[in-house]
Amino acid sequence: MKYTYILSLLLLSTFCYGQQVQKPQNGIFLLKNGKIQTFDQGQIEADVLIMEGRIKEIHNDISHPGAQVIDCTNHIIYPGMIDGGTRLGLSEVGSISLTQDHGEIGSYAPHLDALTAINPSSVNIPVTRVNGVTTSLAVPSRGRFPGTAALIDLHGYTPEQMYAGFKGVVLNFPSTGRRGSWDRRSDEDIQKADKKAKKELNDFWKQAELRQGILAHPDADAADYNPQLDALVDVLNKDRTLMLEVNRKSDILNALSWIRDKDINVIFTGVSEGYLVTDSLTHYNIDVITGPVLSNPGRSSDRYDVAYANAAVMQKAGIKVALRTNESENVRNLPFNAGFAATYGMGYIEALKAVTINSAEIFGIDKDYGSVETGKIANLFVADGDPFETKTKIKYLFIKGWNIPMESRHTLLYDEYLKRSPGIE
Amino acid sequence: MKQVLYIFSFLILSYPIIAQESGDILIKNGTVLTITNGNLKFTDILIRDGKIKSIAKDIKAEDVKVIDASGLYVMPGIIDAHSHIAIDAVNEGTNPVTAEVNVGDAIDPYDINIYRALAGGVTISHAMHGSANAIGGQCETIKHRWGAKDPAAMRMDGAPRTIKFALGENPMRVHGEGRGIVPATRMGVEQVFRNAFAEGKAYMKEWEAYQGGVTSVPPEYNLRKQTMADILKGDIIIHCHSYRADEILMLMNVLEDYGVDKICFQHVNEGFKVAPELAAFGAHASVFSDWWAYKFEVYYSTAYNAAILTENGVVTSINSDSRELIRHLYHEAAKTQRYGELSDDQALSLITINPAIQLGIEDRVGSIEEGKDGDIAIFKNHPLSIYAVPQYTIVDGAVRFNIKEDAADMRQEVNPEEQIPAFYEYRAHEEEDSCLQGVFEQLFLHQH
Amino acid sequence: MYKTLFRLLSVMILPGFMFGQIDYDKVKEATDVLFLNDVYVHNSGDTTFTMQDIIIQDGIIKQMGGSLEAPYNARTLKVDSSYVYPSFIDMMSHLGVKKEERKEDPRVKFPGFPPNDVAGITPEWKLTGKYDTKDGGIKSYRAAGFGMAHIVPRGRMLPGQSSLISLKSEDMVLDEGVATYMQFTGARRMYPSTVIAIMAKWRDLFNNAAYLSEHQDIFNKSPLGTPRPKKDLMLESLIPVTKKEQAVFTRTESIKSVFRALELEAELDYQLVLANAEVVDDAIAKIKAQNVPVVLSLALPKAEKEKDKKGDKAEKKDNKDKAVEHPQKEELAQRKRESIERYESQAGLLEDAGHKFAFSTMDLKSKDFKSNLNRMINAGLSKAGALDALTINAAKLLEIDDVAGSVEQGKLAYLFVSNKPYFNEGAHIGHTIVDGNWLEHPKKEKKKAKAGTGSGISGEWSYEIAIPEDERSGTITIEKADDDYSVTVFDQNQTDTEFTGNDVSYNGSTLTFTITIEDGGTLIVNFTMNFEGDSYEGFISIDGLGEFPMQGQRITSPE
Repeated sequence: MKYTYILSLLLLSTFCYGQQVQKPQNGIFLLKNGKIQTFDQGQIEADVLIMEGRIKEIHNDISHPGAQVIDCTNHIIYPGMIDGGTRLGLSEVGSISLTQDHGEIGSYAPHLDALTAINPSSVNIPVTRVNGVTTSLAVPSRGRFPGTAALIDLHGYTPEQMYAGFKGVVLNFPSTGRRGSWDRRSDEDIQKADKKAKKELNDFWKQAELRQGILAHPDADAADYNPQLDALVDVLNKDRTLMLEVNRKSDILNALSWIRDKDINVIFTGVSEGYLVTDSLTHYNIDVITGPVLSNPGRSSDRYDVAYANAAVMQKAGIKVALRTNESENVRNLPFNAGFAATYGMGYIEALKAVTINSAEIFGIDKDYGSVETGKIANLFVADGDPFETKTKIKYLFIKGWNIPMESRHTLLYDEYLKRSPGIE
Repeated sequence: MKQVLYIFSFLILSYPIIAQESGDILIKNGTVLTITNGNLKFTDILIRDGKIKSIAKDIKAEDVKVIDASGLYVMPGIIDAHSHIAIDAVNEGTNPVTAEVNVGDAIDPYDINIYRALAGGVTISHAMHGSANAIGGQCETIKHRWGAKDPAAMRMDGAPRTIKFALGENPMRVHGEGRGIVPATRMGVEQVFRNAFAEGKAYMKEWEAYQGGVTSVPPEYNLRKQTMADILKGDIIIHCHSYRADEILMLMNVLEDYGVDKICFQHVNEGFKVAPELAAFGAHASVFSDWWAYKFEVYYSTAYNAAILTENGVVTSINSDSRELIRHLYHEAAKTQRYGELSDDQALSLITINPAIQLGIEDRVGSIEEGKDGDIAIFKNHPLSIYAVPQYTIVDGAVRFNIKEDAADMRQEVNPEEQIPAFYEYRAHEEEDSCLQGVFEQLFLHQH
Repeated sequence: MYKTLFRLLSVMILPGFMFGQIDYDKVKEATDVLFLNDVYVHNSGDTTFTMQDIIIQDGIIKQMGGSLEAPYNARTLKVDSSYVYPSFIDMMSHLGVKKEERKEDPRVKFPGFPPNDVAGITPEWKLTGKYDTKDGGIKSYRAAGFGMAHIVPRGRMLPGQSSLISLKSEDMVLDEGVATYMQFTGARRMYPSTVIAIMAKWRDLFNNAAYLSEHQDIFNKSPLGTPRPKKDLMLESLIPVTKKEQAVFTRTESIKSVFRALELEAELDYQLVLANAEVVDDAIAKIKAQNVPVVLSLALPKAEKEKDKKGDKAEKKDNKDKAVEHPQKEELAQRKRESIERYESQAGLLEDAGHKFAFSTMDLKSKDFKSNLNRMINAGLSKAGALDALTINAAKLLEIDDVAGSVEQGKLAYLFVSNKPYFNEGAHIGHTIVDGNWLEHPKKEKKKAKAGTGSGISGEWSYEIAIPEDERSGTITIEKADDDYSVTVFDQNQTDTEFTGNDVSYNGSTLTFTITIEDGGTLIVNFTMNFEGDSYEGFISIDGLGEFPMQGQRITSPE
């Protein structure tokens, strides 16, 4: 009696700080008797063998000595979800600026590397991944060129371990939208500011082109230090993708004509009014990362569901669309954003693609990511049903072949407090 | 004269009642989720003069608009116990106590967010003062009678008076940090309440003395103290913005000392830690489905909060506090099935009968029962499914949202100077802490 | 309604007003008697006229009749067969009210309890000493037919009490403390800062004033043993309001503020006037039920055509891309049109509802006065209704209709003479008589423009002025009516500041005009612009400060 009391106290003391108590496990895992969600053949019955971080084999009735068998009867295996734009890892507590690492001071800093500031111990990370999100893009904000975004897997003890193979230079394209109801600038003022911003942007760009030419010359001084321009030179050399954030209709059109004569790799992000300019976007063959789906329309006259439906309209017009939450602590809502997109026109399969294979293709990592296929990195999860359905339970989660414990601060607090002891005196 | 003025706050109620459009409607053959009486398949609901007249199979009625709900789900209109839509002022953040102000004075019946809430099945919201002050202003329970022109027509007549209190970081930040005045700590916040209640009590006494003929001249009139007196008399339900377990316990202690018992804690992210104490006090809890970590006092949160509170017997609701979330409260409620495995009825209660109880209007709304108001939301697919799509939203028997027939542009007021309405950029996290709306303009600080 | 309002509107002190002091810079008028022969006099409440002769003496319409003899000592105005109307009354504006110098906000330790004057709560203040008799607006208002203006102080929630002035250069104040003026304008960063706090504060002040009055009565009846009522000039100034002896002009541009003001009135019971209202339609039933007077704003949103020219440039850009038009474009344009029409229709709706109203000019650009009246008339207001609102209705609201508001024998001599019926094309007000004081307003000579080039400068132009350490920029709008140019200057360095050019002259290549800046003192700025195609160069000169170069380009031209 006394012994159990002491034991429970011990347990309490480990729980009450909400820390991880279980460690992710590496090894050989055999997922038996489940179904695999595919994009074109529905859910197929097959076993999945995970070894050395990858999906080694997909086949009926696999057996492998030494594999830890995980029974997936009545469960479905999904590719891990990829969030195409977040502050996860760069932000801990919203109102405390000293825990915010996504917005540096200054306008032209494309070389700032998001990966360097990823906090692998962020409490937000376990909270996110237990909902099936295995990978997310950490995006810097603030300024015209806030930095270089980095794709991370949501497990690892160093940023390098977490790195998932894509980086992109972020450009907040000059915007003529309003920033809030307090923004009472006249249309003229907005136009003037826009003109000025575009001129500055073009000046910066021209400098980078100049620098590109200089660096290409055999006499170039390798020691000439100019990281701001070098980051853009990478874009000009197509070594880096430009992630161009733009939302308002006329801004999207301006951005399209701005990139027209530029030979670079570019992704458009945001694109809230993309549904109004699908012809132009398809004409230029632009890939889009849009979201959050769960957001308000941009204009008071818009139909109430334009943000729900935007992704679907673009997808149906033939644009490759991936989704993002733009969140930090609630990136876990990515499946629900996808669910709303599915409901408002996209359909289940296309919405699933928009958080898996499309993202992987847009980031150029579809060789390793985005679907449950032999040879790919083992980023996947096992659930008792449609992962977009709110009440669905996720049972197992693998990131880079690691079996991740299904716990987070939120589950630990639940376990501790559901039946609090001592209760009321 | 003095009698009249002393009780003038009641005059508002005696003001001629605004004609509130109500209708007759017959909803045929739906799956009716009554909330309080199980689910009824293939059932009709007849609404007459804005009230639910009967719930039965094959109701015959003439001269009524008919909605065919075959294959659809029919639930009570969703109620949001915490929002800031439909009002032109949220925070009078200039003083730690502003009990006298009332956001019901600033109703904006043309706010497009009312319509957008209707498009999410929400028929009633609790328009609240913000959380800049320990004792903020009085709030207004509004019915989403979209299309009504008179702000007064949005009020839910007869709904109890409510007032916003706030604990923790917001009042500390605005007054302590922002201006260098009390309260800068949670200790100070407690004293703000004790002081205000003590003054309200003394004020009540002064007026009783004057009215009883003990004193010869009227005491100084003070609407702020008068409002505190009204709380002490039990005329006003407190809705208190709160996060940490300690401050929740503190306020319950203060209220106990002053004999006040009508309290609903809002947000109450650490409510799960003191769920037994909340249940014992009879306090209610109105929470976010999953918001956390947007400031330090919500860092030790759990999305299982609503489930823990519910399992401990606390009357709990899920609220929006956001013009975005208010559009899909049905989905927010469903999250308690992922985070805590609540049953369908438990989850739906969080956005219907429970918030109704918290606002003191459960005898009129919050479930589908004969005699209750004809506030109904009709969904394609079960409302707790991610695939749910609201089809019709009905307030007092009048259809206020109709997915098929409504125009895209539903504005009630059109700016004559604007050809195409301005586009507002999405700002990450603009919603969080909308409780502090307006304060930063007042303080000339930046939000982040 | 206004018990405190003046009974004697005018004291004639034209001759010898500085007794004992000789001033040979002034010439004494030969006579103050005026004779108008065979004029058509506007009949109130109607659009008909009666042919009359009028004799004016001592500021009063001494005599009217069919065939009067010109008095031997009269000056006979050459206005035969002209049309005579009562002077317009501006029911609310800041005309001639000096702008307060912008001071830094004082530091207040407890923003919840600022001193009343800092918080903008000074209902006891009157406008004494706050007029500028040389305000340029007075002249142009008078030329437009106005004779009196009910002016309110500038400020925030309760900036003070209004005055009634006569639009002449001397001895203009007719009465002070006419009404209390209230706005739903919050204090900056202190209580009351929002509309909800203003409404709460109003209830608090109103009840306190009522209790103070009650306390005073008790004390006056039996001072012995009764606690002394506190001395509070601010609260005392509201006692007449609580007793319905003074009206509260409440500024209510939006329909929401109309409803808010009506709710306060229903709750507290006082003499509310909805002032400078722009939209009242949905509240008319309540307005009638509560019997609340309305003062409609004469300002209107820009008419469709004009606006399209300038345009929502941000959106216009969208439309350049012909391929992509907003899918709701037509519907949105239609809704905007309806919204403009809504504003234009308000006066007609009040008239149809049989509710009397007057007009305010508060946010009106004076050049829009007549065109806005015409827009309201096109939207349903009758011409007679428009004239009544500007004359007799306003006089009734001020309770001076026994002496003003119409041209009748015995009434005060406030009238103007138009060559044609007022609303006719080409009508010109040639003479105004305000309080017996006569002014002639000659029609400006049409200048002959150089053929082919004269019309070329109309439109909107940018400007940049290089004043050392103070670069100025903005736009200049040049409009041409017949052959006269009017100029408006929008200065971007002083937000919302607009100046109207005076003495505008254009010789085919050079435009000159002056503007007057009130900034503590009075500053006259002379503009000279030499046009060359779609750009110009020039300079401004300021007396005592020198010349500064300016330049700019065309932004838009008229269609």
